[in-house]
Amino acid sequence: MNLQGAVEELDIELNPSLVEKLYEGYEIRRKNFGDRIFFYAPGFKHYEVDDFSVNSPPKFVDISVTGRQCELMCDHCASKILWHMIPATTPDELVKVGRELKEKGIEGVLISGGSDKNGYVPLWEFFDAMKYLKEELNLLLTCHVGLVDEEYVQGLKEAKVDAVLLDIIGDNETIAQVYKLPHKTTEDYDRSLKLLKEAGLRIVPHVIIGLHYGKIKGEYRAIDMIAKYEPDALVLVVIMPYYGKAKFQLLPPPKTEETAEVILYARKRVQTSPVVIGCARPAGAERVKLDAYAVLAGVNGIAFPAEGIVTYSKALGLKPVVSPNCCSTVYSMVFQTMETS
Amino acid sequence: MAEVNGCPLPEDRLYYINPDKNAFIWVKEEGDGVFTIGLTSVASAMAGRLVAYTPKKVGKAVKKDKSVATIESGKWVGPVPAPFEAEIVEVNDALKGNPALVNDDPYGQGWIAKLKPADPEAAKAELVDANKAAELLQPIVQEKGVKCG
Repeated sequence: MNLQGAVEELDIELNPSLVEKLYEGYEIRRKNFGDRIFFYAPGFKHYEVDDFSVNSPPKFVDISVTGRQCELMCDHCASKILWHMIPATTPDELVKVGRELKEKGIEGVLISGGSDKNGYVPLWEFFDAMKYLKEELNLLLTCHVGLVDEEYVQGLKEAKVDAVLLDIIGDNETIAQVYKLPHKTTEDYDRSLKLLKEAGLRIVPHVIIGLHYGKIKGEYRAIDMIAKYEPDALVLVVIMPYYGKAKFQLLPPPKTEETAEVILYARKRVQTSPVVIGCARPAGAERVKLDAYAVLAGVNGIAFPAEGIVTYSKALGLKPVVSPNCCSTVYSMVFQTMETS
Repeated sequence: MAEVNGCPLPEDRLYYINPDKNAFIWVKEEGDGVFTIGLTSVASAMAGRLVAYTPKKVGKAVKKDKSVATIESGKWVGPVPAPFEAEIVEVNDALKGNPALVNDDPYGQGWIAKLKPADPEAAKAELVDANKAAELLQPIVQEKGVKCG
C-alpha cells in the first residue's frame, strides 16, 4: 500500500495517528473481500469529477409512494430526500411508472416514501404492485421501510423484494427529538431488524452519522444492534445540515475524524458483510478527506466518490469497480466478484 | 442587455459556450493579463442552488476544458471548465462559506476564479460576445427547459 503517494495525489492532510488506527479496518476488508472497491453513481443526479463519472443513462432510480409528503417531517430531512424521487402515489401509478421505466432501460428501483406518524413507510397497499415490478418486469426491487411489524414483513415477503433498507437509530432521545417519535424506542428498531431477518429478507440497514443535531450519540449502539443480525450490507451516511429544517441548517456536521472513527467501528463489528458509504454526506473539501479515511477504514464501496478518490484507491493498490446502481445492492456485487476473481 | 429565456448575459464581458464540455462560462478581462471567470445565469439555473464550491489550488496550471473548481447542488456535481489554458491566480473564498452566491449574483460576487493565460490574446480568440452567446445558448435552454427569474 503506497499511502504517502496516494495522499499526495489528493493534496490533503490526514491525521497520522488516525490513519494508523484505521489500517485495522483496511486489513479486515482485504482479508475478507480482496482488493476490489466499488464506486456507485445512481441515476438521480449528474455526477462528474476529474477521475469519476458515469456517462451511461441511469439504470437504477428511486420512486416515492407518497410523492413529497411525509407526516414526520424530521428535523434532519424535512422530506427533501423525497424531492428527487419519481412520484407514484397509487398502486396503479406504480405499475404504470414501473412499465415506463422498464421501457427506458431501467434495471432496478428503490421504492421509498415519507413516513407516517408511527414511523412506517406506508407500503401496505403497494405490495401487489411491487410484486408485479419484480415478477413481471424483472426489476431489481429494493425498498426503504421505517419500522415494521409482522403483517408488514409478510407483505414484503410476498412482494418478493430483493432487499429491505431501513434507518437504525441507537438513541431514544434522537428518536423522540429528531424523528418526532416520542412513543418509539430503540427496542422498536431492534424488533424491526429481528422480524425482517427472521423472515429471511435481505436487510441493508443505514446509520446516519451525526443525526442528533450534528453530534455523535446513538451511532455506536445502532451499529451494535445491526451487527447482531448479520446484515447483508451496512450503509453509513452522514448528516447534511443544508438538507434539514432551518434550525438544522446552521449546525456543523460531525468532525470528519469523528465520522472516520464510527466507520472503523462499523468495519470491526461487521466484518464479513459489505460496509459502504452512501450518497448522503456533506459536500465540498471535507468530503475528500472523509472518503480518503473511509477507504483506509476498509469500506467496500462509496457512492459518488469525491474527486481524486478513485485515483487514490488505485494508488493504494485497490481495484475500482464502477456501478450505476444504488450502493445498497453491494451485497450482490461483492460476492459475485469474489466468485469470479 | 442580451438575454435568453429571461437569463441575462451582460455585454461587458465575453463568453465561452461549449455544450459538449458543459461549459457555459463568462470571462471578464481585468487587466494585467488576468481574467475573471464565472457561471452564466443559464448555468447556475441548470445546476440549481449550490451547496458546495471546491476550487483547485491557487498556482495550479489548468488546460483548456479542465476543471478549475467543482461545484455541487442537490442534483448536479460537476467541474467548471477552464475556457483556456491558464494558471489559477485567485479563487473566491466567499463561495466556500456561501456557494449559493453563484445563484444569487452570478456576474458579481459569485465569480468562480481569476485566471492568467500565458497568451491573453490567444485566450480571447475562442470567446464570443453576449449576443453570440445568447444564440449558442438558445437551443440549450429550450432542450433543458431552463429559465431565469
